Amino acid sequence: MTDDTASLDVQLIVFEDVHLEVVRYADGWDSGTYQEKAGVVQLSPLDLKKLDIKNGSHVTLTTHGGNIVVKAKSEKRCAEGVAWLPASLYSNYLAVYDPSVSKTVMPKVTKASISPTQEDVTPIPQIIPGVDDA
Amino acid sequence: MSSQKLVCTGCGCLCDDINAEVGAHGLTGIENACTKGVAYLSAAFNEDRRTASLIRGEKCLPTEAINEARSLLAKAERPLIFGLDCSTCEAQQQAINLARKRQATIDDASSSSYGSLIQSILSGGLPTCAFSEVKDNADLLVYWGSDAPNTHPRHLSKYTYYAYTDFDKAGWYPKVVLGCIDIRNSELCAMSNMAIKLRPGQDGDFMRAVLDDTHSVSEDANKFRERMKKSRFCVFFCGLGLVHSLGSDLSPLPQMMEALGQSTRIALMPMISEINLRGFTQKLYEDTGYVNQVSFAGGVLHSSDYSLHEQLRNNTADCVILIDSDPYRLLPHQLMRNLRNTRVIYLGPFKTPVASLADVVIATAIPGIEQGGSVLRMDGIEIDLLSVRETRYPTQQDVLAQLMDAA
Repeated sequence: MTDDTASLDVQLIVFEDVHLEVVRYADGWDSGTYQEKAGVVQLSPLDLKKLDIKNGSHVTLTTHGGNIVVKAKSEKRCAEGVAWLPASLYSNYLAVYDPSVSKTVMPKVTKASISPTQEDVTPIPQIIPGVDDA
Repeated sequence: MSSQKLVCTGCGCLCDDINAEVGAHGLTGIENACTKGVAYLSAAFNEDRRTASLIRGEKCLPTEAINEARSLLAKAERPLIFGLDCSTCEAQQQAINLARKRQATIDDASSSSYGSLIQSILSGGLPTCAFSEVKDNADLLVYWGSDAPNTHPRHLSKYTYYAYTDFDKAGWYPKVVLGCIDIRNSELCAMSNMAIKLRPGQDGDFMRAVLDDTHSVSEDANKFRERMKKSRFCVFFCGLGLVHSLGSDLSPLPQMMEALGQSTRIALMPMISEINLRGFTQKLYEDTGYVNQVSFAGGVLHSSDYSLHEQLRNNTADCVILIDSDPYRLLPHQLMRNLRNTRVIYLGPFKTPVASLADVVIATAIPGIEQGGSVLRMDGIEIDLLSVRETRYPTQQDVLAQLMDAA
């Protein structure tokens, strides 16, 4: 899924975004607008530079839970080595629950790696097994 | 068209000052709700957002869906009831009765969020207070691991900071200090008088540093301790950021509150998002002594093994009844794969990821819009919900009552 040109290890912080909740209620969790709003990871401008990508480029976000393709957005408030992802079906897809490591079921902070890609943003039905063939 | 006063059931704030204009085809106007509340209420009045009753994806009559659910439940040996955090207290009681009768396991979203905090509050281990005590009385408000403008958009304006009527001499700022402790430079941090940024997972260490006033090398901990000492009444609004950072060891929190509480009154309130998570946890606690993760198979048993996440991880339950709750929005998706190995019955009003996968979907009425009932707000105060429009959907309480006679 990755182009393997460059890769960056980050702390992925999941945050609540009221605008995303509004879209979920207004258009539904399976809508294009929800996917567009949820599939955005915010990074420091310096980290965008390290990855040699522009604001709005697509990146593969990988954790022990899996990987997805999302858009990268430059955010000055992000520190270097930290990425922000809104709480959504995407963040839950990447979340990992391993009671031998931590009893926290839905950690707010996860280790992740980011690499540039030319692929499209992962469609929501692809991360919910059965929805596309239900 | 008619004007209706209603309680917004869009989040745990349960704002009770909403005016809605209801026309023949839905909502035509709304006053006082926040952006999230408007979106939620608009969806609640939009038939396109509603799920139909379904059996394995095929539309059916509600009675047919209930009969199929009754049949699945009758065959189940290890049923699990989960959710209920957006249900009325009356439906919650019915679900607990059903769990008891069927010797089932029962759990809710508090297992992966505020369960431990609420258990401590209900058992008297952590002091709490009502919103009515906060306004104009508390002189220090600390949002810890919580970005209220995004999770509860009217929290500050209706209940806390902006609700104060007592202002400083210039008449501009409320006579209260707004504090924020977070790992992000959130919107709330930017507007706070005292913003402390922690590294991820360092909340417990920060609390220990606050307690250690002789050796602390943390400037922020010293600043926080001194500010606490000046306060007469401080309220901590604890978000999921704090809960998840502390993990299974909450002990630094009560230790810090007890030590700082020598010189000031301190209360704590969990920033619950669901409209009645507090109601479910309190009801189950009154019934069993535990707020979640209870099995009625052979008495009252409590263990993390009875949580939805452990039941899914271990493939324990053979029939899962989800009541107005979607695990896809609550849990890591790695666990959801195991939901395929069990029968799933979903009761709820809206189209959700799990509704599209369940064996049986029973479409139900929306509390606060199509049915009345009571709920407990995040501060433990009971709020009465109203019914503002006729509906063809049964209530969750009625459906659960009909499942009681599953053999």
